[in-house]
Amino acid sequence: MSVLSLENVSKRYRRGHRELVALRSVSLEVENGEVVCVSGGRASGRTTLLRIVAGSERPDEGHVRFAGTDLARASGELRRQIAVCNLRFLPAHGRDACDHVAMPLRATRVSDDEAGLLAHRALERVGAGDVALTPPHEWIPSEAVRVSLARAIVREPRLLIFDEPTNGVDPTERDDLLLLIQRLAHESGIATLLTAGDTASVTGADRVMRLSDGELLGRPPRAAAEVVELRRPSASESTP
Amino acid sequence: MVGNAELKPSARLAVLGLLLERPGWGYELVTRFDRTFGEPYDWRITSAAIYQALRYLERTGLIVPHVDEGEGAPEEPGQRGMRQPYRVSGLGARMMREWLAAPMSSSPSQEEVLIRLQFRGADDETLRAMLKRHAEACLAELERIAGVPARTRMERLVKEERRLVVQARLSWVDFARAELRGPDDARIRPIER
Repeated sequence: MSVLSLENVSKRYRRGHRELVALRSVSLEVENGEVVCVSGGRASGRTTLLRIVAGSERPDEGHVRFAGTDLARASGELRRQIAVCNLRFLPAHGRDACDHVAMPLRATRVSDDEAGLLAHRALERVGAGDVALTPPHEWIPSEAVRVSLARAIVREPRLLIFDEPTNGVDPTERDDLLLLIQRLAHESGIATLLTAGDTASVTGADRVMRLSDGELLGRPPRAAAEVVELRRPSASESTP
Repeated sequence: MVGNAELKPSARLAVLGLLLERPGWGYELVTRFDRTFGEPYDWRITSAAIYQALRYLERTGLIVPHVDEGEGAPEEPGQRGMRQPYRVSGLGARMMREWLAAPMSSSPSQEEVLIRLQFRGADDETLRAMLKRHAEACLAELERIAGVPARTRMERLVKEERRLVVQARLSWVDFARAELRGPDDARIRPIER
């Protein structure tokens, strides 16, 4: 089943006495563990698309469903299963990487010690164990991306969103980061939606789509494999 | 594929397209080809290549001698002069239509792009559909590239070159789609009161 599903989503912005059409009847499905990369040029609507998926904007038309529930009506509990990666690390959230990664756990019932342990584990998992005790201003861009990923996965989300993850990252480190995102998605079954600028790498994406002139081009997910119920051995078969 | 003829985006296909626009003969086609493709896009071919294309197209039945009512009966076969006019046969028209309907690959040659844009012979809607299918072919190619492992430096260089070329094509599709927008599709429009 698709974790995320957009159906004929349209979005317009008012600019004085004119309106700007950002998205035109966009439909999109992202499955469990699938990495979908939406590429597009400037003003193609890709950031609007992510904001709508994150629930920070409402579409003018169409529906967004997350885990089968209309996103507009989803509970706070359900919404917390959507992790939005960003590279903002506010001083108020802590000093070092470990503090920032543990931050999302503070609102939960996890103890501080436990949160610290989980944060360390998440940082190790994304290959950022060595910056655990360093502050954000000491990180190079690829390390900031890794910490941001650790902060996203620490709460075990079902959907991960990242707007241009490799923006500003050194070209030689870029594909390693994208393959890391793919590995996290595949291993933990996290539906992952990324965006990529015109010339950004799409390595690791299971599916590449294109926002062109406000419309989304590309293929739907591969048809889900038919579910075949396993036949239980009958009593007579299981006795020797 | 219809018949035995083979149509690749080349002089043959361009000549077939030009004859589909209107009947013509050797020298006339040489000048028309130059006016359509040579001058504006620097696709230059020799006049011998045009005559060769005409012979091939006639042999495979894609074009036939054109009988102009006003000028009487056509010349006897074998005695045809350089001014023998040709028109496209039903078979030729069908092949051209099928070729134009097939999706443009993710790496079309410059000639293929020129022929498709020149002879789409339909409205903007058809061209938009063609661009959409071309974009889909490019996206499929990007997905393939995304999955290619690049362990050595050489593999990384080749992968990067290929990826950027395909993405440039997608940027071109964006531009072409914006150019072809209908009046109702404008992305910035006045708010109706």
